[in-house]
Amino acid sequence: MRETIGAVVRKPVFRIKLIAISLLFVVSLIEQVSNNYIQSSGQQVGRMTVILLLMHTFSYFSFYLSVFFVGYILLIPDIVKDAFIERQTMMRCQSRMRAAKYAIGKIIAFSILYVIWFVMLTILVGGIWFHDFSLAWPKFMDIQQRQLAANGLSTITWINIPVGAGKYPTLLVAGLICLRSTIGFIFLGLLALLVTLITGKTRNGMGIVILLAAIAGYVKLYMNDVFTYWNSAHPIGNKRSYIRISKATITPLFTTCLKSDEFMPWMRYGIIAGILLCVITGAGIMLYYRKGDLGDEDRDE
Amino acid sequence: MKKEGSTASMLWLDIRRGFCSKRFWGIVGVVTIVFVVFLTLDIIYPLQKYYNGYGTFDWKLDSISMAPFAVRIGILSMDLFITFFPFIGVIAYAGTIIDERKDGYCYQIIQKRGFHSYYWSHFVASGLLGGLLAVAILISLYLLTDIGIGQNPLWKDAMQVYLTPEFGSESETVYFGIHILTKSAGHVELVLLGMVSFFLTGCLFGLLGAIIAFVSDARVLVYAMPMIIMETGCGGLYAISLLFGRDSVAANVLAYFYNITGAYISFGNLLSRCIVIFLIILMLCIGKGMESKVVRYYLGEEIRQV
Repeated sequence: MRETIGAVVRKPVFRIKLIAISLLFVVSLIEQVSNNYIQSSGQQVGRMTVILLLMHTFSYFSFYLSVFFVGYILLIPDIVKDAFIERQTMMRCQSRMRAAKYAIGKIIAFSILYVIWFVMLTILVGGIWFHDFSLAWPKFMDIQQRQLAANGLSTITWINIPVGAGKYPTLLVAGLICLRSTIGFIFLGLLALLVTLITGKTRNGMGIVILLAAIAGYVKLYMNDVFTYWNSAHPIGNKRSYIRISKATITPLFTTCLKSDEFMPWMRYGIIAGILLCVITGAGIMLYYRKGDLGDEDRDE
Repeated sequence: MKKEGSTASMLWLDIRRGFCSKRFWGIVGVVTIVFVVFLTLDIIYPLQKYYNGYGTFDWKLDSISMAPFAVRIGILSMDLFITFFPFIGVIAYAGTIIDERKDGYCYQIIQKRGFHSYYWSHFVASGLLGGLLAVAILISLYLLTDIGIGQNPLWKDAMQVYLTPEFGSESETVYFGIHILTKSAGHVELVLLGMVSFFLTGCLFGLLGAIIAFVSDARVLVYAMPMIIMETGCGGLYAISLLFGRDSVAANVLAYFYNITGAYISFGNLLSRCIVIFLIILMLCIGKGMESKVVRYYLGEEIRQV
């Protein structure tokens, strides 16, 4: 496994992609940390800390849309399918099932490394900018959490930390947020691999991830997480009705849906749903490996 | 008259090839279908509300508590549109450059017409087709919003109600018709100016895509790189402007560059168009400077054999 990862990481195109996306991430992060709201909130009632920036970054869906998903989609052709590596793996494993486990393991390893890489970059930028590695919750977070609990959606939040997160230690919250994201990326990688295997085209694997990300982005950012409809059967004064459709998108695998959502129930939902989806997709890959054609060149060209 | 085999005649041939390709019109179709879905989702509620509850207590209550629930953000201001716009410029023709290199077709043309003609015809065609694709998409969205929704006889009565002053100013009303596209453009003249902005911006991304396509075999990289370069460049310039201080002259000058998305968000203005033209000239200069390196990349093997 280490050799395979090393072989992929040594590819110049992989390095160029990773450098490009890291640059994009760093400038986006600088934009965030230089944001007036974050700075002013820190100056008034406590300082912004590195761990808070980490939680904010990995709980901010726009960040996923503009950086993390873009980077992951870019890397899919390198980490999901490589005909040469696949043939080598088949020869070495000498069994289809072992090769399938190897392919799944490769995606899991890359997803973990992908998240770790951005966690390290966040710590680096946050450390240089804030010089504060304290693990305590700053005072302004208490204020924000109270306002969120009391006023819900109408609260203007400076930092994307869900309601109720303040009840837990910062390390646990940051760890769970990163764990959820990792599981989310593993699912996206496995799904891309499954679609690539079935259709024989890597671009379809990328396409499915782009499609899921676009749907989640549209539902979250433009439909405000809900589908609104007029229900004539409802009592007078209450005709406007909502269906909360964001739960059916990939949003809960990475963040909460609304800023007023409780931290722990959504975290539990995100992690469990993520693991279930990974298991289902993984089973699909195993089944394909058992029966399908392997080691073929990509049919994109 | 264009001389047979000249760069101009090859450019004309490339433009015709790109314009008649499945990829060009496929992208126009896909973008239109995506926005048909978005707009349908957006207009369901106001239409349901009108046809099921017009004049009732709920109609009044709902209109007081919230301006009629519909498109509040013009298509051109949507994050999805802004993020994916650079793809439009690149996808028009830059991919063909890689295809031709991979299947060896380019070497036949180079042998017949020379590398200089091949390079410049493909480079400029990528830019022009990027611009044309962006304009084609704008026209498609215009027809979709103005004729498909704004003048659709199926819900004409509902629209007349929503467009009355009862529903407040333009900024908070339901955006039927052309207002869905952009809040600020209600006139054909503005849309025409918007086409100029779209053409220039599409052209810029097309040229950028061609530069990358000439030196890279990774198709995904070529398609994604203009978006990453734009986002990174804008973010980087913003970060640099912070070093000068937010209100300094340098920061204000840099702001014109890192707000380049303004050229297509709301149809842009003269200044944004001038900046895009400056960047297009910069791309052409980079292209000129790269030519000798690209020759080595393409013909390195042959030169060594000779």
